[in-house]
Amino acid sequence: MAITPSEQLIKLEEQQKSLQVKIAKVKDKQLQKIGKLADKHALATWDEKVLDKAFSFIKESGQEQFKNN
Amino acid sequence: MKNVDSLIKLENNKSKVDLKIERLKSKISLEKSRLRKKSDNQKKKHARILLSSKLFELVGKNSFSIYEIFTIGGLIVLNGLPKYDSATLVASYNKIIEEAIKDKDYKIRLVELGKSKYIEDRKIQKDIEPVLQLIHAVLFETTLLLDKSDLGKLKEQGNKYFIARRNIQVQKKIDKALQNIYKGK
Repeated sequence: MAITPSEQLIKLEEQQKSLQVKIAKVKDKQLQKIGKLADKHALATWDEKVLDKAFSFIKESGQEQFKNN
Repeated sequence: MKNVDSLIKLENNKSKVDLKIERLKSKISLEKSRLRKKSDNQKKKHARILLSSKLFELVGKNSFSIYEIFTIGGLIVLNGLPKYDSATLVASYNKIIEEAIKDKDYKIRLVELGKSKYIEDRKIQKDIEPVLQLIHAVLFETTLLLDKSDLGKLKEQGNKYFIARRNIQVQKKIDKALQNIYKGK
């Protein structure tokens, strides 16, 4: 049975909401993992500004160079 | 990293859904404006039939704004009159209007009816002025008249009225043209 455009819109908006929830959950998990890694390398005690600079450096130099090491 | 992959996948899915929503919204708004235009045209068409009746003789007004015309069209729809043809309608409108012009008490009753109908009928969201309330009463009385009348006879009367009206209009145009010719001489 064909659905009307407004019904379709409601369905899509529900889909959008559930995707937002999923994305938020995955991001939260990722942050926790990053937090654990930072803890492992004793980065959790670093000054936030310094840590931010370190992250910027990693971003600039790219993650590829760390992959095979 | 499994997490990163699933995040990218989710973000991609979300942008696809976002795009679909955006497209659908603009499609719906286009469809809405199309329907609105259609309903506005219908309202104008229905209002035109009433305005071609003897209404102006009753209401003491020479013209209506576009806002009033849409309101009149809306009132005609509200009273379920669009199902009748224009000739039947114009004859019925004229019957009620002629009666109201002839009988002052009937006109007063119509004014009161219009007021009370406006108060009781909350479908009319707009704050309508007395002339429109009177028109609302005329329309309501027309529905009652149509229920108990011979529709074929009304249609015949309506057609005669339209022809006579058209003849008057044609005559007016001829007179004006003649006047211009005389002025030119």
